Amino acid sequence: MQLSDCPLGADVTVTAVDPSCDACLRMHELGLRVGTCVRVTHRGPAGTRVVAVGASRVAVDAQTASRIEVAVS
Amino acid sequence: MTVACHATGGGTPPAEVTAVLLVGNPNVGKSTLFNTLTGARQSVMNAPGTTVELHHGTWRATGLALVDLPGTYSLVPRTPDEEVVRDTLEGRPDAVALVVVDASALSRSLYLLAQVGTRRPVAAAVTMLDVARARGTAPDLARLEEILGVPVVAVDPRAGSGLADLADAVGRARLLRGLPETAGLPPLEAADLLFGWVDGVLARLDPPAPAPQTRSDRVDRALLNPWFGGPVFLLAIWGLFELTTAVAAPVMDLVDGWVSALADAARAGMAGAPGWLSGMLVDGVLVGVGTVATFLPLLAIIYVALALLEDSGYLARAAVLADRFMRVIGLDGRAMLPLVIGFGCNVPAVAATQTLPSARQRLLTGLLVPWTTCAARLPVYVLLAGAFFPEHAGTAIFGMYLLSLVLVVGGGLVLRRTVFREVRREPLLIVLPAYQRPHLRGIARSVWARVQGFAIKAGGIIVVTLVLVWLLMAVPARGTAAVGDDVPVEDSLYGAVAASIAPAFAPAGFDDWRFSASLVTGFVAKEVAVGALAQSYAVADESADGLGEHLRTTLDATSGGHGAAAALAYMVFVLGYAPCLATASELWRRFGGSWTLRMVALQLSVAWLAAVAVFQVGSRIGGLG
Repeated sequence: MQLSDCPLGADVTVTAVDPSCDACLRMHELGLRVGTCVRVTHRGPAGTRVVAVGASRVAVDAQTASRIEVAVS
Repeated sequence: MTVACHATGGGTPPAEVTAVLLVGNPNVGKSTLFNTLTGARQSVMNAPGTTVELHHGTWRATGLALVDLPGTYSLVPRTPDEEVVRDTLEGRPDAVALVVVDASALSRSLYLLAQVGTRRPVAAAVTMLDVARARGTAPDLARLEEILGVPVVAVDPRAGSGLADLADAVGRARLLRGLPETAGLPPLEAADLLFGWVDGVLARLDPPAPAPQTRSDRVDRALLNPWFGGPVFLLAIWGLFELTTAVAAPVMDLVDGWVSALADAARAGMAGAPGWLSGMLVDGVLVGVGTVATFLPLLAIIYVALALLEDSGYLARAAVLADRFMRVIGLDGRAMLPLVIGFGCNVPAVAATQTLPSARQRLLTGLLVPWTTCAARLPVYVLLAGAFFPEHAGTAIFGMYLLSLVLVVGGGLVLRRTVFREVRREPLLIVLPAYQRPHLRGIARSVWARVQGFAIKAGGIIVVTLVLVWLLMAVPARGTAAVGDDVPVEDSLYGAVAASIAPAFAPAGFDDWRFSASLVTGFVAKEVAVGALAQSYAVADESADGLGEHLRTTLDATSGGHGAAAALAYMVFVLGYAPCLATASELWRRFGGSWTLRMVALQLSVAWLAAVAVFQVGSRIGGLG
């Protein structure tokens, strides 16, 4: 499942991040890397997702969210 | 330099430590800490060869030089600001790094600490403990210091607590031990290794698991909701617009009144002095200083408003809400704020570009700001539209605002595909800080430093230019008047310059020295263009009825009977031709002379082409007589 399709409030684990994505390293640095447990906390405008990574919150646009594969924890 | 590897006690670092670089993620309280440590003893300057601001100061308690580096998540840069962080760290091997660690986002902060601590002595200042406590994730700092082997100090820059221990911590700064070797590895592999180390540290620290929902989450449920958050965002930018117009205007008028009274008193006091001397000192220098002074309250108001938005955490949400609109021209959502402020006044709008995260984005936005039609241009539109399109004045003025939007969006698209090709279309990937109560004392300090910066640097350019304009008006090019006498405008050097420029506007239908003179004056301040026209015609009534008749007669003559088309062309030229002097000075201060001059040249060219096109089409096809 892609992070963009993830239901609100579900605890999921990142299983893959599209390595061709330009911001792959930055996603990694912000905690969106394989093995991390995350949770979508909000849906914003234009498909934006706010993701809880540990105690911090990261907003990701719909296109970037679609490049992150997750599985329900 | 060598850094002592022992505690110095007494809160004093050893003499070998001469400079400290503040490094940290964005929104971790780094700048608040810098302001608290340095007080008023700070200055803002661009990093060499860049438009990235670096804040330098003196740590009051220790006398050490302190540099506040731009916020960054990594030393593998994605923006010019992050490049400056990396380059400054590499270029200052003598300095100790004080890494500001966010207690509520330890993993991210420890990753940066690891990158910095590989090559230089580091100490950690842990902030956001109140946020971490509220989320139930506050780490045990004594245990963290034990694991890391470098000094770790809890600080609250807002309350000023923990600061005394920081100096001692800097004295005990040392290299991080036990880090994996990452030299020569691809960035992603290096990051994996460093995060492996971070995970190891966190496993030993064993911080409590975060609460599933926070107070900020509950607020965001409303503020990030497109149906509720959208109107709140529009309300916020409407508030900013109102601040630049309705709120600032009376204060600016008040200061203007004081300056005028001072100028009158100075003129009276210098009654016996030679005319050129009193003219230069009063109409040149004093009026110049007064112009700068009138902008100071406006800038202070906007700086405070922006700092409140940033400190409270709302600015990051604004970036999310406006992202899809600004993405059209490849800009961060936060670029909407300066562009909206620009419709009130361009000067604080250029200043507001400071809220953007990357230097190239700040520059691109700053260059687009002069195309937002500020309130000072409105009197020109009202006069011309009232005189030439009395039945459709509102539509003509609305058209100017529409054209302004077209110029901003079109200019942004063209610049993105040419000069700013390398500015990447960044995905929205932004950390949302917890909502916090703004720290008013810190905001006051930073606003004071920024207003001072404008007064000294941009103010100097404004005063010198206004003295030159006075000189042009005081020196006669013909006639019998002497320098400093009341030289009629058309006989002055200023009038001669205007007359020599006027033929350039023949293809736009307004080849007349009075119109070109008003454009020169309009560069000094857009709103005085109308006054300049009235002065040229020696008319006291600046309304469409009084002055309008003269304008119609002139433009009908210069345009071959197509006065309305010429008037529209003049309005279009006023909209786009150049930033006013104060805006140009602020652009110069922030982005340098080269960019400012290139932008002025581009705007003049675009405005001239647009004015010519409007006149040629309007007079031939549109039937605007």
